[in-house]
Amino acid sequence: MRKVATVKAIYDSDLKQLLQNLGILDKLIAGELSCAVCGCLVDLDNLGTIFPLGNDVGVSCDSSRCIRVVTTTGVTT
Amino acid sequence: MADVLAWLSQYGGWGVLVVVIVLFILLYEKAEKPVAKLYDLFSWVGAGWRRRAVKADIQSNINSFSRAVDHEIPNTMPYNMKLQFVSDMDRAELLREKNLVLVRIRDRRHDDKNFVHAMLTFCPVGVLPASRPYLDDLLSDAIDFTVTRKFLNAIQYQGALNYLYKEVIEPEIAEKPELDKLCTILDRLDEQGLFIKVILRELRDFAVKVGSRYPTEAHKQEARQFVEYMDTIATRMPREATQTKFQGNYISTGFVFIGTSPKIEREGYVPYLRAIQWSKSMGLEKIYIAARDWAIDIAERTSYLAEKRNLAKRLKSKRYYATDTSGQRRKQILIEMQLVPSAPFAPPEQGQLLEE
Repeated sequence: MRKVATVKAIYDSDLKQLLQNLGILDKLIAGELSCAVCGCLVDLDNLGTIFPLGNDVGVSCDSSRCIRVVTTTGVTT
Repeated sequence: MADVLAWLSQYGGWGVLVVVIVLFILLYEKAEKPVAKLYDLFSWVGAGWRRRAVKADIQSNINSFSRAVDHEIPNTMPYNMKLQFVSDMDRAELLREKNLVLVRIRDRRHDDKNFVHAMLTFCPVGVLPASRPYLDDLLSDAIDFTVTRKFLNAIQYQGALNYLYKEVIEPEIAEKPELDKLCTILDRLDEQGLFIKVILRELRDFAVKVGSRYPTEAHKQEARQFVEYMDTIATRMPREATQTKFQGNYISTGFVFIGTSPKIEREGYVPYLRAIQWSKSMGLEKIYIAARDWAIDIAERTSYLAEKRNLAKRLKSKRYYATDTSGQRRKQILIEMQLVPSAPFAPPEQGQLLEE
Protein backbone atom coordinates (compact mmCIF):
# COMPACT_ATOMS: atom_id res chain seq x y z
CA MET A 1 0.00 0.00 0.00
CA ARG A 2 1.27 3.47 -0.91
CA LYS A 3 1.52 6.32 1.55
CA VAL A 4 -1.32 8.84 1.58
CA ALA A 5 -1.33 12.63 1.28
CA THR A 6 -4.56 14.12 2.57
CA VAL A 7 -6.25 17.06 0.89
CA LYS A 8 -8.93 18.48 3.17
CA ALA A 9 -11.98 19.85 1.44
CA ILE A 10 -15.47 21.13 2.03
CA TYR A 11 -18.34 19.95 -0.16
CA ASP A 12 -20.95 22.42 -1.40
CA SER A 13 -23.86 20.85 0.48
CA ASP A 14 -22.00 21.13 3.82
CA LEU A 15 -20.72 24.66 3.23
CA LYS A 16 -23.41 26.72 4.96
CA GLN A 17 -23.37 24.53 8.08
CA LEU A 18 -19.58 24.75 8.33
CA LEU A 19 -19.60 28.53 7.87
CA GLN A 20 -22.25 28.73 10.59
CA ASN A 21 -20.05 26.64 12.93
CA LEU A 22 -17.09 28.88 12.19
CA GLY A 23 -19.21 31.97 12.88
CA ILE A 24 -18.63 33.64 9.52
CA LEU A 25 -21.84 32.86 7.63
CA ASP A 26 -23.55 36.14 8.54
CA LYS A 27 -20.46 38.18 7.65
CA LEU A 28 -20.18 36.38 4.34
CA ILE A 29 -23.82 37.04 3.44
CA ALA A 30 -23.50 40.67 4.56
CA GLY A 31 -20.52 41.11 2.20
CA GLU A 32 -18.05 41.82 5.00
CA LEU A 33 -15.39 39.27 4.02
CA SER A 34 -12.67 39.80 1.45
CA CYS A 35 -10.16 37.45 -0.18
CA ALA A 36 -6.96 37.25 1.88
CA VAL A 37 -4.91 37.13 -1.34
CA CYS A 38 -6.43 39.51 -3.92
CA GLY A 39 -8.73 41.51 -1.66
CA CYS A 40 -11.90 41.01 -3.72
CA LEU A 41 -15.27 40.62 -2.03
CA VAL A 42 -16.04 36.98 -1.15
CA ASP A 43 -19.60 35.65 -1.04
CA LEU A 44 -21.22 32.20 -1.05
CA ASP A 45 -20.82 32.02 -4.80
CA ASN A 46 -17.11 32.67 -5.17
CA LEU A 47 -15.74 31.25 -1.90
CA GLY A 48 -12.68 29.10 -2.70
CA THR A 49 -10.84 28.18 0.50
CA ILE A 50 -11.19 28.51 4.28
CA PHE A 51 -8.13 28.55 6.55
CA PRO A 52 -6.92 29.84 9.94
CA LEU A 53 -5.48 33.34 9.65
CA GLY A 54 -3.84 34.42 12.90
CA ASN A 55 -6.60 34.28 15.49
CA ASP A 56 -9.33 34.57 12.91
CA VAL A 57 -10.80 32.59 10.04
CA GLY A 58 -9.46 33.56 6.62
CA VAL A 59 -11.12 33.00 3.26
CA SER A 60 -10.05 33.29 -0.35
CA CYS A 61 -12.01 33.67 -3.55
CA ASP A 62 -12.22 30.76 -6.01
CA SER A 63 -9.78 32.20 -8.54
CA SER A 64 -7.21 29.48 -9.17
CA ARG A 65 -4.38 31.85 -8.48
CA CYS A 66 -5.67 32.71 -5.00
CA ILE A 67 -6.33 29.04 -4.21
CA ARG A 68 -2.76 28.18 -5.25
CA VAL A 69 -1.27 30.96 -3.15
CA VAL A 70 -3.21 29.76 -0.09
CA THR A 71 -2.41 26.06 -0.63
CA THR A 72 1.26 26.43 -1.58
CA THR A 73 2.86 29.46 0.08
CA GLY A 74 0.15 30.23 2.61
CA VAL A 75 -1.14 33.59 3.79
CA THR A 76 0.07 35.48 6.83
CA THR A 77 -1.71 38.22 8.68
CA MET B 1 -7.34 -23.89 -4.96
CA ALA B 2 -8.86 -27.16 -3.66
CA ASP B 3 -7.65 -26.25 -0.17
CA VAL B 4 -9.35 -22.86 -0.38
CA LEU B 5 -12.65 -24.48 -1.51
CA ALA B 6 -12.43 -27.07 1.29
CA TRP B 7 -11.80 -24.28 3.78
CA LEU B 8 -14.77 -22.31 2.41
CA SER B 9 -17.13 -25.31 2.66
CA GLN B 10 -15.99 -25.80 6.27
CA TYR B 11 -16.56 -22.18 7.34
CA GLY B 12 -19.50 -21.35 5.01
CA GLY B 13 -20.66 -17.71 4.82
CA TRP B 14 -18.00 -16.44 7.22
CA GLY B 15 -15.31 -17.94 5.00
CA VAL B 16 -16.68 -16.10 1.96
CA LEU B 17 -16.82 -12.87 3.97
CA VAL B 18 -13.19 -13.26 5.07
CA VAL B 19 -12.09 -13.93 1.47
CA VAL B 20 -14.01 -10.86 0.25
CA ILE B 21 -12.42 -8.67 2.95
CA VAL B 22 -8.92 -9.96 2.14
CA LEU B 23 -9.49 -9.39 -1.61
CA PHE B 24 -10.85 -5.89 -0.92
CA ILE B 25 -7.76 -4.98 1.13
CA LEU B 26 -5.40 -6.41 -1.49
CA LEU B 27 -7.17 -4.90 -4.50
CA TYR B 28 -8.43 -1.72 -2.86
CA GLU B 29 -6.42 0.59 -5.13
CA LYS B 30 -7.67 -1.17 -8.27
CA ALA B 31 -11.26 -1.16 -7.00
CA GLU B 32 -11.37 2.64 -6.62
CA LYS B 33 -12.68 3.31 -10.13
CA PRO B 34 -15.55 0.76 -10.07
CA VAL B 35 -16.49 2.04 -6.59
CA ALA B 36 -16.63 5.60 -8.00
CA LYS B 37 -18.96 4.41 -10.78
CA LEU B 38 -21.17 2.70 -8.20
CA TYR B 39 -21.51 5.86 -6.11
CA ASP B 40 -22.21 7.82 -9.28
CA LEU B 41 -25.04 5.43 -10.11
CA PHE B 42 -26.72 6.18 -6.77
CA SER B 43 -25.94 9.91 -6.68
CA TRP B 44 -29.63 10.74 -7.27
CA VAL B 45 -30.43 9.36 -3.76
CA GLY B 46 -29.05 12.36 -1.88
CA ALA B 47 -26.21 14.79 -1.15
CA GLY B 48 -24.29 12.15 0.81
CA TRP B 49 -24.07 9.82 -2.19
CA ARG B 50 -23.20 12.74 -4.48
CA ARG B 51 -20.41 13.75 -2.12
CA ARG B 52 -19.07 10.19 -2.13
CA ALA B 53 -19.36 10.02 -5.92
CA VAL B 54 -17.40 13.27 -6.42
CA LYS B 55 -14.76 12.19 -3.90
CA ALA B 56 -14.34 8.68 -5.36
CA ASP B 57 -14.18 10.02 -8.93
CA ILE B 58 -11.51 12.63 -8.21
CA GLN B 59 -9.51 10.34 -5.93
CA SER B 60 -9.55 7.31 -8.24
CA ASN B 61 -8.48 9.30 -11.32
CA ILE B 62 -5.68 11.17 -9.55
CA ASN B 63 -4.42 8.02 -7.81
CA SER B 64 -4.45 5.95 -10.97
CA PHE B 65 -2.41 8.66 -12.78
CA SER B 66 -0.03 9.08 -9.86
CA ARG B 67 0.54 5.31 -9.64
CA ALA B 68 1.32 5.17 -13.38
CA VAL B 69 3.91 7.97 -13.10
CA ASP B 70 5.42 6.43 -9.98
CA HIS B 71 5.57 3.05 -11.68
CA GLU B 72 7.58 4.57 -14.54
CA ILE B 73 10.00 6.43 -12.25
CA PRO B 74 9.66 5.34 -8.60
CA ASN B 75 9.29 7.99 -5.89
CA THR B 76 8.40 10.83 -8.25
CA MET B 77 4.73 10.64 -7.20
CA PRO B 78 4.96 8.45 -4.09
CA TYR B 79 1.59 9.24 -2.50
CA ASN B 80 -2.03 8.42 -3.08
CA MET B 81 -4.36 11.35 -2.62
CA LYS B 82 -7.05 11.13 0.01
CA LEU B 83 -9.75 13.73 -0.38
CA GLN B 84 -11.16 14.22 3.08
CA PHE B 85 -14.38 16.16 3.36
CA VAL B 86 -14.74 18.15 6.55
CA SER B 87 -18.31 18.91 7.54
CA ASP B 88 -18.52 19.46 11.29
CA MET B 89 -15.59 21.55 12.42
CA ASP B 90 -15.93 24.45 14.82
CA ARG B 91 -13.90 27.65 15.05
CA ALA B 92 -11.59 26.42 17.84
CA GLU B 93 -10.71 23.28 15.90
CA LEU B 94 -9.91 25.24 12.75
CA LEU B 95 -7.70 27.73 14.59
CA ARG B 96 -5.81 24.91 16.32
CA GLU B 97 -4.64 23.46 12.99
CA LYS B 98 -2.29 26.16 11.77
CA ASN B 99 -1.52 24.67 8.33
CA LEU B 100 -5.05 23.58 7.50
CA VAL B 101 -6.62 24.74 4.24
CA LEU B 102 -10.13 23.63 3.29
CA VAL B 103 -10.57 23.67 -0.48
CA ARG B 104 -14.11 24.01 -1.76
CA ILE B 105 -15.29 21.14 -3.94
CA ARG B 106 -18.45 21.89 -5.86
CA ASP B 107 -21.30 19.83 -7.20
CA ARG B 108 -20.72 17.58 -10.24
CA ARG B 109 -21.80 20.36 -12.63
CA HIS B 110 -18.50 22.05 -11.79
CA ASP B 111 -16.32 18.95 -12.11
CA ASP B 112 -13.86 20.71 -14.45
CA LYS B 113 -13.05 23.18 -11.64
CA ASN B 114 -13.05 20.39 -9.04
CA PHE B 115 -10.50 18.27 -10.91
CA VAL B 116 -8.16 21.20 -11.60
CA HIS B 117 -8.30 22.57 -8.04
CA ALA B 118 -7.90 19.13 -6.45
CA MET B 119 -4.92 18.22 -8.66
CA LEU B 120 -3.21 21.59 -8.22
CA THR B 121 -3.67 21.31 -4.44
CA PHE B 122 -2.27 17.77 -4.45
CA CYS B 123 0.74 18.50 -6.72
CA PRO B 124 2.99 20.38 -4.22
CA VAL B 125 2.78 17.43 -1.80
CA GLY B 126 2.28 14.67 -4.34
CA VAL B 127 4.89 15.39 -7.03
CA LEU B 128 8.58 15.30 -6.06
CA PRO B 129 7.77 16.06 -2.40
CA ALA B 130 11.38 15.75 -1.22
CA SER B 131 12.73 18.03 -3.97
CA ARG B 132 10.29 20.92 -3.46
CA PRO B 133 12.35 22.93 -0.95
CA TYR B 134 15.22 22.98 -3.48
CA LEU B 135 13.16 24.24 -6.44
CA ASP B 136 12.33 27.90 -6.99
CA ASP B 137 8.65 28.93 -6.98
CA LEU B 138 8.42 29.38 -10.74
CA LEU B 139 9.90 25.96 -11.50
CA SER B 140 7.58 24.39 -8.90
CA ASP B 141 4.58 26.09 -10.55
CA ALA B 142 5.70 25.02 -14.03
CA ILE B 143 6.07 21.39 -12.87
CA ASP B 144 2.61 21.46 -11.25
CA PHE B 145 1.00 22.90 -14.40
CA THR B 146 2.73 20.34 -16.62
CA VAL B 147 1.77 17.41 -14.39
CA THR B 148 -1.84 18.66 -14.12
CA ARG B 149 -2.03 19.07 -17.91
CA LYS B 150 -0.65 15.54 -18.37
CA PHE B 151 -3.20 14.21 -15.87
CA LEU B 152 -6.16 15.88 -17.60
CA ASN B 153 -4.85 14.66 -20.96
CA ALA B 154 -4.56 11.12 -19.59
CA ILE B 155 -8.21 11.11 -18.47
CA GLN B 156 -9.21 13.02 -21.65
CA TYR B 157 -11.07 15.72 -19.76
CA GLN B 158 -11.32 18.51 -22.33
CA GLY B 159 -13.51 20.82 -20.20
CA ALA B 160 -11.03 20.76 -17.33
CA LEU B 161 -8.12 21.28 -19.76
CA ASN B 162 -9.84 24.41 -21.12
CA TYR B 163 -10.41 25.66 -17.58
CA LEU B 164 -6.75 24.98 -16.72
CA TYR B 165 -5.48 26.94 -19.76
CA LYS B 166 -7.95 29.83 -19.63
CA GLU B 167 -8.40 30.34 -15.91
CA VAL B 168 -5.14 29.13 -14.41
CA ILE B 169 -2.17 29.12 -16.77
CA GLU B 170 -2.96 32.13 -19.00
CA PRO B 171 -3.50 34.65 -16.16
CA GLU B 172 -0.33 33.38 -14.45
CA ILE B 173 1.93 33.56 -17.49
CA ALA B 174 0.55 36.97 -18.48
CA GLU B 175 2.04 38.25 -15.23
CA LYS B 176 5.18 36.09 -15.18
CA PRO B 177 6.96 35.75 -18.55
CA GLU B 178 9.60 33.55 -16.92
CA LEU B 179 6.89 31.04 -15.98
CA ASP B 180 5.70 31.05 -19.59
CA LYS B 181 9.24 30.18 -20.70
CA LEU B 182 9.51 27.33 -18.17
CA CYS B 183 6.07 25.91 -19.05
CA THR B 184 7.05 25.96 -22.75
CA ILE B 185 10.32 24.15 -22.00
CA LEU B 186 8.62 21.47 -19.87
CA ASP B 187 5.90 21.05 -22.50
CA ARG B 188 8.55 20.55 -25.20
CA LEU B 189 10.41 18.06 -23.02
CA ASP B 190 7.16 16.22 -22.36
CA GLU B 191 6.41 16.03 -26.08
CA GLN B 192 9.80 14.40 -26.57
CA GLY B 193 9.20 11.98 -23.70
CA LEU B 194 11.88 13.52 -21.49
CA PHE B 195 9.77 15.20 -18.80
CA ILE B 196 9.11 12.18 -16.59
CA LYS B 197 12.04 10.04 -17.76
CA VAL B 198 14.75 12.66 -17.24
CA ILE B 199 13.47 15.84 -15.54
CA LEU B 200 11.43 14.22 -12.75
CA ARG B 201 14.01 11.45 -12.35
CA GLU B 202 16.99 13.81 -12.04
CA LEU B 203 15.14 16.22 -9.74
CA ARG B 204 14.17 13.26 -7.55
CA ASP B 205 17.82 12.14 -7.35
CA PHE B 206 18.85 15.77 -6.78
CA ALA B 207 16.89 15.83 -3.50
CA VAL B 208 18.46 12.52 -2.43
CA LYS B 209 21.97 13.90 -3.04
CA VAL B 210 21.30 17.24 -1.39
CA GLY B 211 20.06 15.24 1.60
CA SER B 212 18.49 17.38 4.25
CA ARG B 213 20.68 20.45 3.78
CA TYR B 214 19.14 23.84 4.29
CA PRO B 215 17.77 24.98 0.89
CA THR B 216 19.87 27.74 -0.66
CA GLU B 217 19.74 29.85 -3.80
CA ALA B 218 22.55 27.69 -5.23
CA HIS B 219 20.30 24.60 -5.07
CA LYS B 220 17.48 26.44 -6.80
CA GLN B 221 19.81 27.78 -9.48
CA GLU B 222 21.23 24.34 -10.20
CA ALA B 223 17.76 22.84 -10.66
CA ARG B 224 16.78 25.69 -12.97
CA GLN B 225 20.02 25.46 -14.97
CA PHE B 226 19.47 21.74 -15.42
CA VAL B 227 16.00 22.35 -16.91
CA GLU B 228 17.49 24.96 -19.27
CA TYR B 229 20.27 22.52 -20.25
CA MET B 230 17.63 19.89 -21.03
CA ASP B 231 15.95 22.39 -23.32
CA THR B 232 19.14 22.71 -25.37
CA ILE B 233 19.13 18.90 -25.63
CA ALA B 234 15.46 18.87 -26.68
CA THR B 235 15.84 21.61 -29.30
CA ARG B 236 19.12 20.28 -30.69
CA MET B 237 18.93 19.63 -34.44
CA PRO B 238 20.50 16.45 -35.90
CA ARG B 239 24.32 16.73 -36.15
CA GLU B 240 24.24 20.09 -34.34
CA ALA B 241 27.14 20.50 -31.92
CA THR B 242 25.77 21.25 -28.45
CA GLN B 243 26.92 20.88 -24.89
CA THR B 244 25.92 17.32 -24.06
CA LYS B 245 26.98 17.25 -20.44
CA PHE B 246 25.65 18.97 -17.34
CA GLN B 247 27.97 19.03 -14.37
CA GLY B 248 26.53 20.76 -11.34
CA ASN B 249 27.33 20.23 -7.69
CA TYR B 250 24.61 17.61 -7.38
CA ILE B 251 23.31 16.85 -10.87
CA SER B 252 25.98 15.30 -13.04
CA THR B 253 24.76 13.80 -16.27
CA GLY B 254 25.27 13.73 -20.03
CA PHE B 255 23.78 12.50 -23.28
CA VAL B 256 25.22 10.28 -25.99
CA PHE B 257 23.20 10.54 -29.21
CA ILE B 258 23.42 7.67 -31.64
CA GLY B 259 22.31 8.20 -35.18
CA THR B 260 24.99 9.48 -37.59
CA SER B 261 25.03 6.72 -40.21
CA PRO B 262 28.36 7.61 -41.96
CA LYS B 263 30.04 7.60 -38.56
CA ILE B 264 28.59 4.17 -37.71
CA GLU B 265 29.59 2.76 -41.14
CA ARG B 266 33.12 4.14 -40.77
CA GLU B 267 33.91 3.48 -37.13
CA GLY B 268 31.12 1.28 -35.72
CA TYR B 269 30.43 1.60 -31.98
CA VAL B 270 33.85 3.00 -31.11
CA PRO B 271 32.99 6.77 -31.19
CA TYR B 272 30.04 6.19 -28.86
CA LEU B 273 32.04 4.04 -26.45
CA ARG B 274 34.71 6.71 -26.58
CA ALA B 275 32.08 9.34 -25.71
CA ILE B 276 31.02 7.27 -22.71
CA GLN B 277 34.65 6.86 -21.70
CA TRP B 278 35.18 10.60 -22.09
CA SER B 279 32.12 11.31 -19.91
CA LYS B 280 33.58 9.00 -17.29
CA SER B 281 36.97 10.70 -17.39
CA MET B 282 35.23 14.08 -17.02
CA GLY B 283 33.78 12.83 -13.73
CA LEU B 284 30.14 12.56 -14.82
CA GLU B 285 28.04 10.19 -12.77
CA LYS B 286 25.40 9.21 -15.28
CA ILE B 287 24.72 9.23 -19.01
CA TYR B 288 21.66 8.73 -21.15
CA ILE B 289 22.12 6.97 -24.50
CA ALA B 290 19.44 8.24 -26.90
CA ALA B 291 18.56 6.94 -30.35
CA ARG B 292 15.67 6.76 -32.83
CA ASP B 293 14.34 4.28 -35.38
CA TRP B 294 17.13 2.26 -37.03
CA ALA B 295 19.72 3.40 -34.47
CA ILE B 296 17.86 1.81 -31.54
CA ASP B 297 19.62 -1.55 -31.92
CA ILE B 298 22.98 0.21 -32.10
CA ALA B 299 22.14 2.07 -28.88
CA GLU B 300 21.31 -1.26 -27.21
CA ARG B 301 24.58 -2.76 -28.46
CA THR B 302 26.58 0.29 -27.32
CA SER B 303 25.10 0.07 -23.81
CA TYR B 304 25.84 -3.67 -23.74
CA LEU B 305 29.48 -3.10 -24.76
CA ALA B 306 29.86 -0.23 -22.28
CA GLU B 307 28.63 -2.50 -19.50
CA LYS B 308 30.87 -5.36 -20.64
CA ARG B 309 33.91 -3.09 -20.62
CA ASN B 310 32.99 -1.91 -17.15
CA LEU B 311 32.52 1.69 -18.29
CA ALA B 312 28.97 1.97 -17.04
CA LYS B 313 26.14 0.01 -15.46
CA ARG B 314 22.82 -0.11 -17.23
CA LEU B 315 20.05 1.19 -14.95
CA LYS B 316 17.00 1.41 -17.16
CA SER B 317 16.05 1.20 -20.80
CA LYS B 318 12.80 2.45 -22.24
CA ARG B 319 11.45 2.31 -25.80
CA TYR B 320 8.67 4.78 -26.58
CA TYR B 321 7.13 6.95 -29.28
CA ALA B 322 7.69 10.71 -29.15
CA THR B 323 7.83 13.75 -31.39
CA ASP B 324 11.25 14.91 -32.59
CA THR B 325 12.48 18.46 -33.28
CA SER B 326 11.06 18.36 -36.82
CA GLY B 327 7.61 17.44 -35.50
CA GLN B 328 7.70 13.77 -36.60
CA ARG B 329 6.47 11.06 -34.27
CA ARG B 330 9.17 8.41 -34.10
CA LYS B 331 10.19 5.38 -32.13
CA GLN B 332 12.86 6.24 -29.57
CA ILE B 333 15.01 4.62 -26.94
CA LEU B 334 16.51 6.13 -23.83
CA ILE B 335 19.03 4.05 -21.89
CA GLU B 336 20.07 5.34 -18.49
CA MET B 337 23.58 4.27 -17.43
CA GLN B 338 25.46 4.84 -14.20
CA LEU B 339 29.11 5.48 -15.01
CA VAL B 340 31.44 3.21 -13.04
CA PRO B 341 33.92 5.30 -11.05
CA SER B 342 37.61 4.53 -11.64
CA ALA B 343 39.73 3.06 -8.84
CA PRO B 344 41.75 5.59 -6.83
CA PHE B 345 45.17 6.43 -8.39
CA ALA B 346 44.21 4.65 -11.62
CA PRO B 347 46.07 6.01 -14.69
CA PRO B 348 44.15 8.38 -16.95
CA GLU B 349 41.65 6.36 -18.93
CA GLN B 350 41.19 8.43 -22.06
CA GLY B 351 41.85 6.28 -25.10
CA GLN B 352 43.23 3.34 -23.12
CA LEU B 353 40.53 0.76 -23.09
CA LEU B 354 39.33 1.09 -26.63
CA GLU B 355 42.69 0.38 -28.23
CA GLU B 356 42.87 -3.03 -26.52
